[in-house]
Amino acid sequence: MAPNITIFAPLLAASLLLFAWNCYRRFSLVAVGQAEDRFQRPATRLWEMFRFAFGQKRVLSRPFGVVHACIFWSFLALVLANGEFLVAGLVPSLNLGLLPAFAHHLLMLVFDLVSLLALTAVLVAAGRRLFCPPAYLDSSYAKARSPEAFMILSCIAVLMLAYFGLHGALIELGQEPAGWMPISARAGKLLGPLSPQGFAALASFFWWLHAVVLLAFLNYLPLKKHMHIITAIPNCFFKSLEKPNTQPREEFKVGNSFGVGSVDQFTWKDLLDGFCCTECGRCQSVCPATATGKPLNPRQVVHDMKANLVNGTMDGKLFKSAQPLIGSQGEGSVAEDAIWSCTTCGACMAACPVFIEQMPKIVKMRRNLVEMQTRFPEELLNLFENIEGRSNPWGIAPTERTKWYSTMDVKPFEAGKTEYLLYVGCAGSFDSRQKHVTVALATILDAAGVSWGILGKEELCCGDSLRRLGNEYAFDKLAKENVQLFKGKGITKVITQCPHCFSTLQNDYRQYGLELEVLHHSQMINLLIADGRLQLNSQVKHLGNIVFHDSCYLGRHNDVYEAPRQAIEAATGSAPAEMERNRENSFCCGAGGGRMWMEEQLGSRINLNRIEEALTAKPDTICVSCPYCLTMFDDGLKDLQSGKDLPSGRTQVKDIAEVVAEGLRPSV
Amino acid sequence: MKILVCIKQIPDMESRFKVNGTGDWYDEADLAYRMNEYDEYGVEQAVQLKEQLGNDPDVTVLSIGSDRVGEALKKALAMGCDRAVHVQDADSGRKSPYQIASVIAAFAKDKGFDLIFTGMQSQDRGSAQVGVTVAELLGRTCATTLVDFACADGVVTGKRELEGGMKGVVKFALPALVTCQLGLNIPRYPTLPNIMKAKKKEFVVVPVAELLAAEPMTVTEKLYAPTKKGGGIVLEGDMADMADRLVGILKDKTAVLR
Ligand code: SF4
Ligand code: SF4
Ligand code: SF4
Repeated sequence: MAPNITIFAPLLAASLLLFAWNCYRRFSLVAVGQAEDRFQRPATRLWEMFRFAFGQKRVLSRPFGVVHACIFWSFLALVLANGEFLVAGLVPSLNLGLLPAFAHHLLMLVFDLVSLLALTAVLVAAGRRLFCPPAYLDSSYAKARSPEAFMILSCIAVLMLAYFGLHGALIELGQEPAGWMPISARAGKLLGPLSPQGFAALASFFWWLHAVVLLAFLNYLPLKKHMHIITAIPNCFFKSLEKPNTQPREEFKVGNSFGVGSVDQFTWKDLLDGFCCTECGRCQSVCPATATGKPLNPRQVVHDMKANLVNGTMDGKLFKSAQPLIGSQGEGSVAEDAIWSCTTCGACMAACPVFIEQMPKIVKMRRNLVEMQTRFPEELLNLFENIEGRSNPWGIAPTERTKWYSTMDVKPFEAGKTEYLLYVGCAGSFDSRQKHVTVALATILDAAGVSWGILGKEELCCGDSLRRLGNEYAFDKLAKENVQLFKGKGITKVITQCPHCFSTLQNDYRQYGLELEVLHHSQMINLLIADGRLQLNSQVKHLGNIVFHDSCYLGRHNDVYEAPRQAIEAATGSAPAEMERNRENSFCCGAGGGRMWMEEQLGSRINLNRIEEALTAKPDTICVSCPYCLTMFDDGLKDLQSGKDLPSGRTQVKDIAEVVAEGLRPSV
Repeated sequence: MKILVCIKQIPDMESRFKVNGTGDWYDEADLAYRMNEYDEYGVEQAVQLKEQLGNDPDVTVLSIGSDRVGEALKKALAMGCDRAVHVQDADSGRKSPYQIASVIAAFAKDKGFDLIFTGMQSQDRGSAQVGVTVAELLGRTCATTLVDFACADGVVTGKRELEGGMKGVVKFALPALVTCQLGLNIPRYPTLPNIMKAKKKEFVVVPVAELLAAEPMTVTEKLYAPTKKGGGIVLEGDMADMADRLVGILKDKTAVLR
């Protein structure tokens, strides 16, 4: 089958040129971004790319992902088939027939079967969009049933059908072996009994149909979300190897601009993200802010960033935005109240199949709002001044830091004498509810004979809230003071009872050259039980049915899922009940990212959403491992249960340390 | 236009205070310091006025004290003042309000400031004398406890907080001195570029001896914590009996029933 080269050659050349031009335009926009090194540890990166892009690991984490995986893997195989198609269109003698017959036949079989697979998958995908579209496919800018989606799916379907048509006709003409292409052979039969001229005409028709649709598809790619076919694989290579909430430091030099206030201040990787979004809506479906009706939708943030970039113009090498990046101008701008709604829970990043970094972009924009414009919710003024002046979010006098242990004998940390620093943390020192947890933890450590000490009045805030809120300058000062303090005291091993301190000390301070061995108290308790150093006197039964809530900063951000569960199990003799959204799918309590210190005026309350989920397990006790979670659950439960007559008694909230410490009471 | 803002650095009022060795002021060890709240309103108002007048006014911020007051001055510069004067005095805490006022007046007298802002009082000593005394020494118009401030064509219109929730409106021509009260404005949080710029602004250090001539007119004799009052009395028992006992106590110990 030889097409008319005088028509095909110019058509192909024109399409390829247009495609190259469109890609160039997109990628030159990416180049507008700031420098960032995403090439370190290339071997790790290649492996991750292999697992996540080619292996479709994240895609397959959702049931429907299997359909995408089918289309993707089919595409991979068909890239070869279509490559041959285009080359042979120009030079008919250059085709896979040059391969040894066995290999050629095997490929024919693979292409044939895989095309059927792709066709089926595309039909299923279309059916899903048509008959049972999930809500998260819809956003302000794209609908599940958008014409675009159906156009793309039909394009793929037509390609497959044309493939079968073409090869069916060729088989009927005796030009290809029927045995290796069972589906095409069946298609050929369906084309009817026809004269050889008839089949030749059909073959030529299908060939052109295939060629035109293929080239059209190719040129459609760079324009819309299907750009991800080109960008998603490299994006998996460039994915962040850092913990998700550890953002790069800023350099405080006169004349620098801080954070991101215009789209060209993002890094090239941020901008590349924009061209990778598949609009799958997964981040939107897991975001606590979106779920509770707040103006934030992580997918929309990525889309607006991209729209802002695409709407801009290049003036020589200079990029000019057409609209502000932060503002209420609608598509292409991110609203301030969206930026402040984020709890930095990281659910979006954990869900994104192509490793788009939504949350770090939000923090970068916060930095700009705080540092360049001092525009932030008014509650934060107090918070910043409290932390800067008194080194704790509440603004309580630093001298009160030691009040929690009025009835205990607690020693200061002394290098050489003390093994562990117990970093009490602000909540553990000042929050009246969390102080009970501190005492419980101290009791456990004493009972196990651990050598531990505290910093007492010298302890400072870790700065977590400052950093997540974008007050990087204040965080930087605090981090430097803390690092100096820790180094000066010769501290190497730290126990924390707060996942926020845990994450900050362990991950963020590494950027300041401080390597610590940090244990969350759940890990410490587990160690002590496993070593036999912590002996409980009795099994804790009176807390009843316990359900466990994963804290984002312990779980998703630091992959600690089992330690708290094991601690509960060791104390009570049975594993805690699970909520529907658990472990990496856990739903935030609403306090992260500095939201703890802000009013929640928009939408419904995140903590209530989570508590209602917890209550479906009919727990007597909700167990947490984080002071902020404790506050959010306590507050929410009070609101839910106030004035209600609850026959089964009230559900209470306990930290794991409290649960374990119950087991230390003398048995009766 | 030239503006002077006088600020004091005070200890964090949440701190636990101890009387010092000489028994006449608090012990400065272990305290965290910040800018006196009322002075912060002054800085903010001065900077707002500067912005309102197209950046024309030149704002000087002055503070008296040991080296640590540099921090407060830097904050004022970051908020938008143009230059800082640090009158170096390691013993400023024990100077009388009159002496402090004379130092400021000595500094300001030949500089031609059109407007001087001070706080209504300091949060630590709380004498509320320095502002008015400076005005007196310089022979200036003075309006105290402003909660509202507007300035146009060399005339200030302000609202003063009076007793019992009343407000008084005052109008006067420059030059003048005003003292600032809570409610005047919300001091800004400086932007990072302004914090950076502040590091390059003029910062003059003057030893207090060059400006201090006045002898103290009052001396702090002694500083002590208030003596603990006796505990309260809780009446219990029969209602009528309790009422009788209450009347007895009111007659004995207070003047209400006499
Ligand atoms: S980090 Fe959490 S709250 Fe923020 S955008 Fe992502 S999912 Fe939403
Ligand atoms: S950002 Fe990621 S998770 Fe969200 S819609 Fe785009 S591809 Fe899907
Ligand atoms: S407070 Fe708890 S649930 Fe909320 S962000 Fe922190 S860790 Fe997540």
